[in-house]
Amino acid sequence: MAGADAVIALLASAVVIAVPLVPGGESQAEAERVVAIRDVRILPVATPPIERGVLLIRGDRIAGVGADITIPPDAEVVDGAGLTAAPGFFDTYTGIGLIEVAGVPASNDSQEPGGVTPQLRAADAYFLDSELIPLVRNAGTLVVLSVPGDRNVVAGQSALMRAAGTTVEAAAVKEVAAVHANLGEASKGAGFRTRMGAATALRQILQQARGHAAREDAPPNHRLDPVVRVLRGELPLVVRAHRRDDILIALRLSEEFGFRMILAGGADAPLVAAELAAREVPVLVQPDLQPSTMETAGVRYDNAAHLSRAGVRLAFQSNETTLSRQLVPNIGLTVAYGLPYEEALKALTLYPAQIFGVDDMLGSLEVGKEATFFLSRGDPLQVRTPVVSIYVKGRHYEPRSYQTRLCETFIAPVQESIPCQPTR
Amino acid sequence: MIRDATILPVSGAPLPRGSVSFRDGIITAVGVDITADSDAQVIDGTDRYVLPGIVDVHSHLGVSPWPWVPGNSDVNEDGGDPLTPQLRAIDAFDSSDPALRWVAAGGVTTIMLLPGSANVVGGQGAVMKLRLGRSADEMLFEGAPGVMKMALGENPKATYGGRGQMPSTRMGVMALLRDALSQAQSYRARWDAWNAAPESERGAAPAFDPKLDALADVLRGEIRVAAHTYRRDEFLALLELSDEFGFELGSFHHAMDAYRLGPELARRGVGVAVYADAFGRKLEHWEQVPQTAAYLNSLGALVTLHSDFPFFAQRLHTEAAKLVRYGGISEGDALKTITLSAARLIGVDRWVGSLEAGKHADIAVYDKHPFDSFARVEKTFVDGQLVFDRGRDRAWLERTP
Repeated sequence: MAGADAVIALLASAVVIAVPLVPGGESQAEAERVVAIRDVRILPVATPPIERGVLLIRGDRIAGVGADITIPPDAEVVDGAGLTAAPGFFDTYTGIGLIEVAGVPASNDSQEPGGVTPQLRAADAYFLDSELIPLVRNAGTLVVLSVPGDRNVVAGQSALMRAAGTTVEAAAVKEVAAVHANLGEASKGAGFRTRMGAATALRQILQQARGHAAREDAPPNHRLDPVVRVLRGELPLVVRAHRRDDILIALRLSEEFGFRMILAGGADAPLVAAELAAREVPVLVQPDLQPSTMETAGVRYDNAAHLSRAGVRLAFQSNETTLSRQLVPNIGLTVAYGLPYEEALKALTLYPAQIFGVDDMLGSLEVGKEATFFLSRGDPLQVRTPVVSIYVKGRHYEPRSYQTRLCETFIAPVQESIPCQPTR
Repeated sequence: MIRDATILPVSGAPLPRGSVSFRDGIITAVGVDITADSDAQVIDGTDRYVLPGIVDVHSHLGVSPWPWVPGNSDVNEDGGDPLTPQLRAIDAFDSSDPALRWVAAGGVTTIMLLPGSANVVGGQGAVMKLRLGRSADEMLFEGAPGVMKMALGENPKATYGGRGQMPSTRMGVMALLRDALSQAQSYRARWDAWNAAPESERGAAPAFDPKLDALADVLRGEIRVAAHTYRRDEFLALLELSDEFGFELGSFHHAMDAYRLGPELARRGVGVAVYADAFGRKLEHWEQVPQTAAYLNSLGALVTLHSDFPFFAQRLHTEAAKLVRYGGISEGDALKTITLSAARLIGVDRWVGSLEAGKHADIAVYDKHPFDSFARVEKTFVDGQLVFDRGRDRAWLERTP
């Protein structure tokens, strides 16, 4: 019976937590709420760290960052002693929102067949109530790129999402952030069997889109229009590629068709670092990428350091969904293997914001930017450091998830010394 | 001798400025005031951290060697029979698998090699030492107990269910196990009776059956069971089965639900191997709680972290650090889950898992505290032999142009 009681308690706790929220909106009181976090260590990222300062929030914006900020009398004051404030981290390649339990087809909306499917939009299937969203939020990742599955040569359109929000419109930083292409092993089976086939399919859709864009009377075309936006420079094309030749094909196409390219993955990217730097192609680096496939055989933990030294702009990605919360612990690998700490921090914050054109809102703690940040008890890049408090667009979130509830249901009654939720 | 380093012996308190000496593969002394023998080679350990070699209790290295293409995969003999106790992982172990070196570069010195989880009984594993460059037989950990891999739940269901074959359900999994064990029970009785009879009264020997013979060794307690299982109902069913047939249930692997059965698992002394915070590709692995290992440790259960994949094996120190973050466990106890407790789980803690005089000189040297996210292994010793050295192995570490 103890088990049954525990399950009932679990359900009850879930009900209690589900406080009704006005979809997408915020009350007048919230819009004007002033919060001052004082005596906190601040990593503004764009400027040097502040060892002991005040972070002032008004509504959903940052209203002050500094060592000598006067706290307004109407401010709600939060003691930040012993804590560090950092801007929300970006994870620039995930299946968040599209995949829940990967092995259960009913909860997996990541992969369509078809080979070339630019018309797909991650935002259309984004699962706002995914249990995985609080998990990444609790790891300090507050912005994720939700990307359609990688087995098509052109996969579709990704969405840049905040790790909180009750409607897609409210959670989205950009409902359409980029169009995605995949070269190499992942897309080889998408209606053809070789890299020749994949390159041909990619070139073909680019040519079709160019022809379509040239027609003055072109009717709307859901399949070609997103590619046209890429050709016009309105959206970047993120190309996932690992082998040197795959990367070079993508670079050739970007020159031939004149689109803005972002490289994702890039096991061999250090071999073409000079070209990437010269053409200002940023790279979305997976810090724990392994030689688990033939095309990633050349990957090394110092890839990020090599690229950074060559002047390539970096952002980090987990290339994961359930394991996306491991992104931050894995960043340590890049620092251990030569990437300067400050660059690692920027590649989690300011650089991805710049790469996706949202650095006017996000990516650093600066007056006027969005209050999307978190507080951790120590260096946020250290695996031992817990995240204790989260703010997304000024709204506060406790570091809780369904796993917290399971812990409180099954562990806390037996052993109360185990912290189910990190304490401040 | 490694001297003037921070020693984390695991069996005792950290020594901020201590030394470890070893000779002929055996640790001779661990302490602050030990002097080097006149013929000793001395390694300066200033600013370094020295700990026992990491033990990974769940590995498929060598049986699916790199590169991970179908031609290299020998981990699952899933051709049609879900019961394959006669298989031995060591028969397919490629001792020149490059991934062995990657894992040694993560401070790992001992692994428990296991067949895969497609079959309900997958076959016999082996405890191996990462004596790189040696043959499979030479890498075997002398004296380590035998192990039989079993697998319950979604993996055998998915492997055979898709072919319209048993097991398609968890009922089928248990029925197959029970049937195999009762046959093995009769087989064992026949052989034990024959062996016990005086030579003059012995008739013809009972028929030899390689499958039942291996399972009979499980029933005799000569081989311990390592069960791949996620759910509480499966833990309970296996515990019941082990009581019914009297075999030793060594360990539950990937035991996600262990937090739902903490006191029972601590009482029964079953080893529990979990991931720190990985979960979720399968429904049976969804309700994960990252406090599990810290919780079980607090109850006195035997709990370890395991890798299953080379890339986790290479960073088990980071996995252990996560226990500090999520479960509030002490750093000493967290380190124990990947060293001494892991050695106990696979039955080799007499020889490895801590830095103590008389134990094997299996040692990892880090440039920072092993739980520091920016730490790297500098040297790994197995039996006192340097199997990884970041300076010496530079050529191997460099990218091929």
